[in-house]
Amino acid sequence: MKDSFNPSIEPPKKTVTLVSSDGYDFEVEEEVALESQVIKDGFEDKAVDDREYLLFNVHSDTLELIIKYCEKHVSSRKSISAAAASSSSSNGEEALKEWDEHFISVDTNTLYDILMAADYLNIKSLLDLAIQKVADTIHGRSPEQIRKKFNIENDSIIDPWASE
Amino acid sequence: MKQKTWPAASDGSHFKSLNLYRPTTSLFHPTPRHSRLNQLPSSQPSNFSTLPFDILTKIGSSLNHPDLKSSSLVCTSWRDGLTPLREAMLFVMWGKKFKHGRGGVRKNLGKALDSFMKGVVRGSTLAMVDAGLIYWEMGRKEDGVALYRRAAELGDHNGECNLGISYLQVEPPNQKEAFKWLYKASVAGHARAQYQLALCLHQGRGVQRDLTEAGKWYLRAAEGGYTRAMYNTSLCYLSGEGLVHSHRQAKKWMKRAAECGHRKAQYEHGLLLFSVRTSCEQNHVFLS
Repeated sequence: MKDSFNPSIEPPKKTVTLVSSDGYDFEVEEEVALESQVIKDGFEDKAVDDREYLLFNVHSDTLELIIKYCEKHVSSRKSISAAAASSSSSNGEEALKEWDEHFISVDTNTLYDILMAADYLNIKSLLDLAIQKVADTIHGRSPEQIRKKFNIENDSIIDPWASE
Repeated sequence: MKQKTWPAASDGSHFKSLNLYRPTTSLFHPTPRHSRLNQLPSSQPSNFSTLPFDILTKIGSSLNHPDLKSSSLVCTSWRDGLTPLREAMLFVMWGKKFKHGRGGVRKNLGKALDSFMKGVVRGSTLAMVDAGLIYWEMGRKEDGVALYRRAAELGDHNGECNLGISYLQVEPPNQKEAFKWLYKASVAGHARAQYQLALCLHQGRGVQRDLTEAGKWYLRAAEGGYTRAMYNTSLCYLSGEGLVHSHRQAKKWMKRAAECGHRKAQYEHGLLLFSVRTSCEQNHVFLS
């Protein structure tokens, strides 16, 4: 094996297979998958060779986005802590913030899917990001405008404030 | 309270995930499919009306009063899901009346705290910050910090800012933690946090001293309308420390700070109006 000639080379990264609800396999690095608290919790209980997670509630379209997010965050964390070690300023975090902003600027249905998947997989930072996006969208809008933004049908509700 | 079940994936069948057949794609990434945007006509109602109540509560927890009112009128499900937060909002309003002795109510801190705490159990981050503030003023700092933390962890920027500041003020101070939370609130645009963050950078508390960064955050806080930051921004421009020297900018920000009622700025602004450039560039003390 090549590795034996060069002891300084990194060991091959461990991978995990995530399976989407519509049956697609996604092979990702272990540390990327561990961004999900649910997978992390389940991880310790699992047998070593069983590295497959069936995600019944996450469609492949959404899973692709989720993985993209986790990969970005894992790699940014590394570069930020590397920058901190060399005592340079924390611009990395601001860049990541901008990336997040761009990432979550999606259409309503995708936002909903990300929100539910982040909740299901328990990825706190992503859930916070999606929730903040929804809250920002609500901010300063009338009920009608909110309905329009989120594509919600008007089911002619009774004003709850009338009784209070 | 009726809890919504997990909605079906938007591709249709509820039971698709139980299908034992899986296409054997050993690809690292599956073949690209059309984006969902193209598949769904925009006229189709989204699933947002079926948000589970716990997520709805998280979304609603940091909404202000008008936003909460609007959201409650969006649809039946949102109205029902946001009921506890609407109640919380009423408790917060009563709490404020008791705290300040307004609206025909005699000032009573105990009752104010009671009222805020009722808002806290209903999940409102506004109530958490208000209750935390009272605890802090009563000298029960640990209880105060715990409430700030709860609000901060729910993403409330006031909570983050207050948590950061309280880490600086407790004995012994935890400057690293303070910086972390102030930074969080700052990038979200919280002017008071930005000012405190600039001070940390200026004085090298919890982080390496960095005048350029400090100047940047002073300026942002000033632009956000924070008076003390306007004053310090002006000093940065005047001395060329942290911001590129500019007499014009210094004058502009000193004037703004003065207009906002900053006493020292009013005095300095007067001086600046009559000054020869070099003479006034000494003897300025940054405010903290």
